[in-house]
Amino acid sequence: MGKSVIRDIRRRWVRNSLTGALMAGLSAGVVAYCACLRWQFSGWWVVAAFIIIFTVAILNSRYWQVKDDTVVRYLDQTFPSLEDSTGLLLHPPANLLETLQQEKISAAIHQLQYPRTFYKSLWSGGMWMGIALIISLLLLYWPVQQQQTGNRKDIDTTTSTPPPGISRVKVRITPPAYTRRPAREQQQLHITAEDSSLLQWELHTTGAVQPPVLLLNDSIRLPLQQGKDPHTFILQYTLRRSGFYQLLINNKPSEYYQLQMTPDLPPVIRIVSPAPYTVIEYGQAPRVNIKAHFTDDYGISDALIAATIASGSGEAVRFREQQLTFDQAFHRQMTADATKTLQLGKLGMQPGDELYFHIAVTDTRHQQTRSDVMIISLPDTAQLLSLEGLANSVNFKPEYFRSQRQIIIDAEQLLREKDTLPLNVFKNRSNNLGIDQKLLRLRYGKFLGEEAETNIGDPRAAEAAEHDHDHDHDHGHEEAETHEFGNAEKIMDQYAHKHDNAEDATFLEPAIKAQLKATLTEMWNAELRLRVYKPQEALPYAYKALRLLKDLQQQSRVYVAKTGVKTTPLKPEKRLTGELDKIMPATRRQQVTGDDENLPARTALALLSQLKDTVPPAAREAFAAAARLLATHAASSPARYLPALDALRRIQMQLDAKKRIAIPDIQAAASGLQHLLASPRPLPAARKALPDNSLQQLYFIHLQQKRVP
Amino acid sequence: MSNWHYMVMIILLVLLVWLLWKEVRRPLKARLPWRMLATMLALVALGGLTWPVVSEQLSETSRLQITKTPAMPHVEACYWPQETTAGNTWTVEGRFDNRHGKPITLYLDAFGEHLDSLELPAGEQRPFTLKGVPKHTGRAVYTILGIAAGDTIVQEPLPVNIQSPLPLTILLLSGAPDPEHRFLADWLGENGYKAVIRNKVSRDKYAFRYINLSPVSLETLTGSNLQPFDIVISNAGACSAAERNLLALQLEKGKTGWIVREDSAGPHPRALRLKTEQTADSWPSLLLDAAAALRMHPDELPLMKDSLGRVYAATTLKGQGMLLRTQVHNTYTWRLQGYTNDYDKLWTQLLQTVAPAKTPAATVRFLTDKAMADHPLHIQLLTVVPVPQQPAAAPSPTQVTTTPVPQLLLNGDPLPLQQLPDRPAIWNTTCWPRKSGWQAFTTADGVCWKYIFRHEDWKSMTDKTIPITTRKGPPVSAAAIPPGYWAILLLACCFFLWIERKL
Repeated sequence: MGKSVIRDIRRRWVRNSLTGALMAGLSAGVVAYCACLRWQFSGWWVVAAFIIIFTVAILNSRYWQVKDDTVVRYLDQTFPSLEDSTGLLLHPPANLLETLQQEKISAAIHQLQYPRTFYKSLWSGGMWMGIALIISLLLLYWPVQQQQTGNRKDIDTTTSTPPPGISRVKVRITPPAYTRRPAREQQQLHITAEDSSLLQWELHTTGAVQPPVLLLNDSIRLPLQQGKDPHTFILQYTLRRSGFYQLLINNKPSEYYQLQMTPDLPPVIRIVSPAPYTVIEYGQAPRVNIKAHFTDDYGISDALIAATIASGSGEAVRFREQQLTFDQAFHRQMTADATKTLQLGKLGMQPGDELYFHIAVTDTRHQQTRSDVMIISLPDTAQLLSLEGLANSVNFKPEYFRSQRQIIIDAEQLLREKDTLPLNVFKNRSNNLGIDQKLLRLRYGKFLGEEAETNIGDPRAAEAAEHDHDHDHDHGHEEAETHEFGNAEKIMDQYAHKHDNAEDATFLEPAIKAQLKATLTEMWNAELRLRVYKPQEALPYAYKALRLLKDLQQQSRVYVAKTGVKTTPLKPEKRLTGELDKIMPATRRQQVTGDDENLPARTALALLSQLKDTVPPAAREAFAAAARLLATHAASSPARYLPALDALRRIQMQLDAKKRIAIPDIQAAASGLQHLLASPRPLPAARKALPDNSLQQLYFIHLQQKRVP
Repeated sequence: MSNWHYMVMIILLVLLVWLLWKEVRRPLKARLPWRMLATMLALVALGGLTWPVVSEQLSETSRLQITKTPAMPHVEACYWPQETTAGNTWTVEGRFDNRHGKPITLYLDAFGEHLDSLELPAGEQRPFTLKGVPKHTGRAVYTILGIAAGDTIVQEPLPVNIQSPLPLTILLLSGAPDPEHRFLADWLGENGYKAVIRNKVSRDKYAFRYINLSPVSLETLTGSNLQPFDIVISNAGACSAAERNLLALQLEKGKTGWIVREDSAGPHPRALRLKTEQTADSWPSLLLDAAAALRMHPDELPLMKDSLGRVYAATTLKGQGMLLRTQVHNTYTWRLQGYTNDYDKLWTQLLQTVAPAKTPAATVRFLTDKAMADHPLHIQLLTVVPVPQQPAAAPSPTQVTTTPVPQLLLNGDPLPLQQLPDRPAIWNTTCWPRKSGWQAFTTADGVCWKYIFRHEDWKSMTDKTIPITTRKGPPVSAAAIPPGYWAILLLACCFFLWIERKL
């Protein structure tokens, strides 16, 4: 009875561990199945994975070692309620005590709550299943990486086979000292090196050979010198441009090797400030901050500012050149920020002068880059204040306002008197100047169709004021007004606020309007400073406004005089009646060869694709022309065209030897040519008709005969 | 037999061995042979039940394909010109069925370079157009590639034969020195064409410029000295009334094309952008006067218009020739501005419109679209038959018999030709090309090339009704015994084994 209970527990134990093993095996199977779907393996891998993992899990569980004793020991250790006497259940009771104990325990053993550890194998199996599920989902839905399908192959610069007869190759590349790069050695014959590097080839031959020759770009032959033993040959060469080379060993050419030069680029300048054209208004501090950023691939050795000051005007203009250094020193760093503050006064600049400067940066290879020229202008305000332009004007209306020039003069006067005036007087005068500035602005604003809150400058307002003064004397005027009595429009005019008055928005050109607007903005700014009692700050804006106004005045004075043209009248009866017998017009003859120079290469491209089946008769000449074209381009960009050239040369050799031509060679050569050739231009061509047009022609003849009876 | 079938068999065998071993090891040896028999029968029944399920799963797709069109993404239809002139855009058009596939990218591949590509979404059947300008001259085979998620689904050959343009000879007549003519003549010369400019300098006085041609007298145009010219371009006042009549006659006979450049650019030229009607090309702006736009005749076809629909170039069919009237001036400014490609395209289009067709001595016409090796290829040979100047009332019987039999050679071997009874210029024949690839058909006019496809090329287009995977799938035969019987047998065996244990 009790024994069967222990057996049951043992069976459950074994069943759990077997189920756990099965779950682990199944999860392996599921993962393998998903992998099969993704990478198209054979289905046998699924079975193999299941069997292997299942076996491992079973071996790991050692279920055959679980005996009744094991179960008894486990129960005794885990459950104190069994009072360490589960073992009694396995044997028939020997005495009364044992019988009593057996009864007690068999009652307890049915109410055991098994802990988690009892189901450990099931738990772990479930966990494996979960993990397998996640992995399978990932396998099924993780996006497959798009494979490059083109035949375009990047050249593998890491592998190059030395030509036969050469046992060992050593290429020593010594970059120029200024690059601060160490010399390096490589076993490969494809070389990528810095500009002006010293290259040294060291070839070890397997047997006695003639001194090998290095054939550069298919044109220059450089013989190698014998080294310390008869099997070693050495050549030194300074790399100046990209290209390709072959090694001639016993006059047998090797394959092509690349000679790729990394150029040293000149430094790059980026000017952060000032703006390309900067105007420093009168009153602003005569100071310019220059901020620039330089970059170079190996290092910047020097940078300076070349400044030119132009002073005077007309024919009396003088130039002064100066070289200025930056505040920073340059220690061959790759990137550098440079600053400099130019004190224009110290440079001797007067109002009206202009400063032109550019930045020149030299790198460690003594390559110099110059920036664009920047212009800094100090405008001359003296001319603005002269009355010359205004003197010949007549008929000034009594003004309500001061001119911009007057405002500037008054503001400067106010500044001079500032120390002697009481504060409230100063403020008052500054404020009054601000009001004047406002009136002026409103006056000019009218030209742009702006509306003013008061009718300043309005003839009707002036008229009304006048009318008040002359009230008693001007009776005729009054009579005239009585006539106007009842004129609704006139009355409306006095009170209405008119929009869309064509006279308000003057017919100015857009450019002039834009400048006028800019002027008004400056006036606004000036007014603002005056109103807050800062005439010193208002001055630059006032000056700028004045300058813009002057410009406007000058512009409006440009005009073109009309002139009449008088020509001699023609005599039509005499036209084209001259004697022309002896006049022989020119006859020109031209012979232009307008052939596409790439035509042989284009033909070669087509012939290459036919090589898989037959050898076309004209192939050799076309391939030779294509190889010449490829060689010229391979010299400048070997990485792109050298493999194609190499493949084409191999094809030529195989053609000569009447051997089978390798498909990869055809593909490489065709790909290079296709990349090299430009698309042909569209050209007119005659169409080809079908030859059997007898019916059409007969029809046409019939038509003709009908039309001309 | 697939892997899955083998797996079912192995599982059943393992199960059989294990169950038999269990039966043998049972202490009670009664009815052992019956038990073993029942076990074996049960497993056979289990096998019989599972076998059709596996087979069905495998053959499900192929069964679907029998009722529907192939489920694999494929090109349903595809057309491309097998012969074109260098410099022309070459267009491949077709329809792709991607109803049962992933999103696919189609590539037009030339010598490892993708000339064009197109993304096709999944679950749709839509037309596609791929374009490119071939760079080779001669015969080559391009490829259309369809790639979905890294797998090449479609890879079919597109043979194309690129020919050099047939040369033209052009006569430019100007009433006054004209920069347009001068630049056009330069351009023609640069590209190896023959051209002559006749420039009127005074009354009956002309200045000439011969490009790639030896000087011939062209002071007065006659039928004979116009003979070498394919196209005449004239501007206002360039030729007399007699010459105009002569040109009109030549045009009607189809000997020359004629481009008439109408009177000057007008008094108020402004920058206009023109569009070509058919090709929807849009050009850089030109200085033209909209008031001088052409007044269309009812028999004219517009060629170039501005945005308001005013016509600046129009064509008329005159007899067998084509007349082009144009008000498109100042195109030489494009060359000065660097729009050389547009200049090339515009004048190519204009000249090609009027260029008279050249009649070859013989033409081969292939009536079979997809010529395959070891399949019949129907060919028509078109030859020139002299046209009787007077339409004969009834053809005399001798006239028909005297037509000599032309020659058509396939790779040097003559093909037998059969003349159509009612069309003496047309000859029919059928040949069976033995090899795939380019084959040369030699006629009196020269060699004509035809690409012979392999059997596996363009399968999706020719064998639309044949499902693709039925060739691989096993025949569905296990369903001969209905599964119900297998289930009864299995249940019976299991019942016996269970009862036997209980006894």
